[in-house]
Amino acid sequence: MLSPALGAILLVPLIGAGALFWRGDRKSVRIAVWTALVLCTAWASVAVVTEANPSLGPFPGPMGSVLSWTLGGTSGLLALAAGWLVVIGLAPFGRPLEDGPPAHQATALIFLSVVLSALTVDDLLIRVISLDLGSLIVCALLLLSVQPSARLAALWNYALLFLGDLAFLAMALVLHSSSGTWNIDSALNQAVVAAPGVRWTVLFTGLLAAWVKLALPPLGRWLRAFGHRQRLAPTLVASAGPPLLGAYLLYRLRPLAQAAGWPATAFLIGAVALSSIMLLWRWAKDRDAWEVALGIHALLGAILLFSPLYRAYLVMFVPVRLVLCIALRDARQPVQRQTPISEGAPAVLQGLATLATRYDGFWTRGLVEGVRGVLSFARATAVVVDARGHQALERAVYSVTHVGNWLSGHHSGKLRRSLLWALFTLIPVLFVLFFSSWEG
Amino acid sequence: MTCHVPLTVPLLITLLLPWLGACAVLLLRSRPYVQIARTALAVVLATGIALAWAWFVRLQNPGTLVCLPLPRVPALSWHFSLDGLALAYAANLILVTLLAVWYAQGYLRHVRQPALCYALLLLFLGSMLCALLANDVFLFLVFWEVMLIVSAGLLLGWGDGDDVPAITLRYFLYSQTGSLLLLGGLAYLVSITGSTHPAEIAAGLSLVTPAALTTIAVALLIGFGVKMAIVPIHGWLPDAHSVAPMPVTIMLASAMLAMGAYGMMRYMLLMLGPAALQPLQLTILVLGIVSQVHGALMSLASHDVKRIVAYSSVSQMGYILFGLGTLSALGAQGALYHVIAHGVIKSLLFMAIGLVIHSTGRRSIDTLGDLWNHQRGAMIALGVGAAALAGIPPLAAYLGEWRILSAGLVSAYPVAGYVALFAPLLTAAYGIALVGRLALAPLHETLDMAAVPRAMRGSTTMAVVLVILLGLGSGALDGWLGSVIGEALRVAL
Repeated sequence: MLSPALGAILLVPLIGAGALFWRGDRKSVRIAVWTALVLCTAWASVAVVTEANPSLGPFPGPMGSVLSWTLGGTSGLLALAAGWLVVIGLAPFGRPLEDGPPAHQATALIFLSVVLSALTVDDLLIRVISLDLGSLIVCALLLLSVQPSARLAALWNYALLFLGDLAFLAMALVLHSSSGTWNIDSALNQAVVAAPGVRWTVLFTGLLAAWVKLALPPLGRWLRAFGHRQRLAPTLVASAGPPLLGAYLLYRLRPLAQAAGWPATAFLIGAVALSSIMLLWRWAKDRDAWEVALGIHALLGAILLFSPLYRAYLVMFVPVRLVLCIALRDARQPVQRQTPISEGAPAVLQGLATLATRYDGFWTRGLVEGVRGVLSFARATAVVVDARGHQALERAVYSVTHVGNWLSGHHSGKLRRSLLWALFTLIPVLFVLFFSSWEG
Repeated sequence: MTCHVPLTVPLLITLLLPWLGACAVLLLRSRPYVQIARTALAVVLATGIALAWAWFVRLQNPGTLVCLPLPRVPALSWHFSLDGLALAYAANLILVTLLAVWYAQGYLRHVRQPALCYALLLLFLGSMLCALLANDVFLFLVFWEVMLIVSAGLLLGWGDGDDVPAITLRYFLYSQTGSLLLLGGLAYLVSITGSTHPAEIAAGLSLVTPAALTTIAVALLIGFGVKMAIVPIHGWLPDAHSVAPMPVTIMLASAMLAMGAYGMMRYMLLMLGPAALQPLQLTILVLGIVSQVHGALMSLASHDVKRIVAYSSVSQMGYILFGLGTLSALGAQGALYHVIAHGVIKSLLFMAIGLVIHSTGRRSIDTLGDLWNHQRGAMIALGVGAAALAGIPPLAAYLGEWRILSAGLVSAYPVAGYVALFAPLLTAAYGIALVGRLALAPLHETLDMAAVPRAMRGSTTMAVVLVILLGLGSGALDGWLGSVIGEALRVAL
């Protein structure tokens, strides 16, 4: 079965990356690539609800495996969320963060293709290959975005990412040796009823891989290295890409962990406790909000793993990471008090924002004047006779505007603009969620 | 043994071309260097074409055996054959030689007696090719010895450094000890079975007692293990690889080490059979893991860039031994794949290192750095090679390593398989260390960079392309190698 929508969303990012590498300095090329990405992501979103499991394949794969890609179920939703994330991140206007050179965007597009492939393929080996490529791209982005003097140190983060890939490879090979198939669903289903040794090996290697991808301590050093980057592509890719794959891996391991019983639960609790302690220690040591916030988010997933909420956590993973990532990145930036929220946004949005500002002033003034009138009336009618009480009431009314001023003073316009953009991620995700549940 | 004629002409040409080419190159010794170098390259190319022709004829005449019309020497019959296994190794050998000789056009430009050097390189190729295609154990041993002598001559004549004679002697003694053990083991088998042909020896193995068979297996394991530089009999390799001129190093690391793997596959796994190796299985697996780990750790501990890559050969041969030690078709297939991948990758790594040494005149990693800004092409090549060696898909080595590791998990000793699973991490570590230090480490002095000859750049680029193509075409190659191993094991069993 050949689904053109799935083929498009897998291939368009690669073609777009090529175009950006070739002529990424031209705005027309960037807009064309972005438009193509929007169209194919929208097409894939529609295909999820209009086609029954859009898929590509079967094709012959390495080591005798049979490959097919399917855009359906939870992994399909995650794939779409990743697609929309990149759509938002690469929008040729109103970007939440500085976009960096075209090579960054091109690399982010390649990474998207790799993540989409990893999430939709049903073959263990191709997923291993995708994870390996993903690690390489993450490392390349890190090298591209650090000072030349820091590159050697940054390169070593690849060893950690490679450890995760190796653990996943080990898991894949053990699954294959016990089940005789490379198909992920079949292999995992058979692992649930396999000998305890096999089950534990798969669990241990899988958790190790997930812990690395989620960047949870003590295996989270690689993500820490991205904490001081200002560019959009490296930050988004690192904070949302590999961790999403790690969270999804945890999701797939859940039946296996449940089958393994309380020892697996105890093991997971121990791992979560260890990571929590190390996160606290990191916080006490250098107050790195970036690392701690992303770590807590990842830990939340591990804690929720056995609850029905985990699927919701997973579906919301990308938007939450986007918001966290932008908010935390922006918190480090110098405050820009004069920047309007709508700067850089489409003209329509800027116009609406300006209009809203005018009405906001009107309403505020109206409110204040109205309350002042009410208070005068009250005083005149002796409802409030105490002057101090009158002042307190007046301050309470003014505090509405004070909160607004305080928010404006403590956050840059860039942050608010970024959060606004981040909210748009939710729209396609909710769209797909709605239609999926409707279909289901 | 029945001899068939149709294969004779192409196979005869394949076997003789390197020897005749060596003579031709020697005759050209007074001609300009370029002419000598190009003649040598043409000879290697022609040998490759002849091999392809021979295989084409072989496909139409399966099971053919070639008897060369040469006078019979007592206990030595001139029987050669070309099966899938020999073809895989021979193709790897010719490919590696092609890269080495192309690279040598630039690297050996200023050496003394270049014609003799090229002639010996061709003889090195010729001896290995004859050993690969020999269908007679004594014939194999004769060319095995020629290979040893020629390579020692190359080391002694064109090695770099004050210790060259001592290092050559050490290499010779190690290799000779291994050869004697091979001779003893194979001669005993011939005396019992009454034949020098591997197939007939295999058929007569029931006449050999199990204890004797195990002893022979041990002798062959050591004999071929020396050539593969398996820990703890690897002492010749780091020094020999370090002092040899780069094209010779490429041949030693990428082609000659593979000869040890070929010997193990052909004369141990296929001729003696997996059953005879069962008592040694755990030993082989442990030796494989120890070699993987020790070689990688020594790479991490070394300072000389050439030694770092040389020690990685010890580690990679550990993978191959481990694959063979699983005594399964899966492991043998992985090992065979890895031999081919390792040949190309190791050539690439040495070529890239050679570019650095040639342009900077330095070899110590402590005096090198910031080459990303000075020699970006070489660093990209080195990075591709290091990534491929670590088994990162979709580059050349990943499928072979996966097969080997997979075979370890389903072997009789799965614990060994689990341990071996994490060896690639060490490979990645020394890859990162090497590439990172050379490319990115700050250097507080100015590097005087010499221009790199075009032939060296071109051949290195070709090696990069091959590493990528081998990875992208891994499915097809893997399928073919699977059929080769399947057929070889079916015939052997």
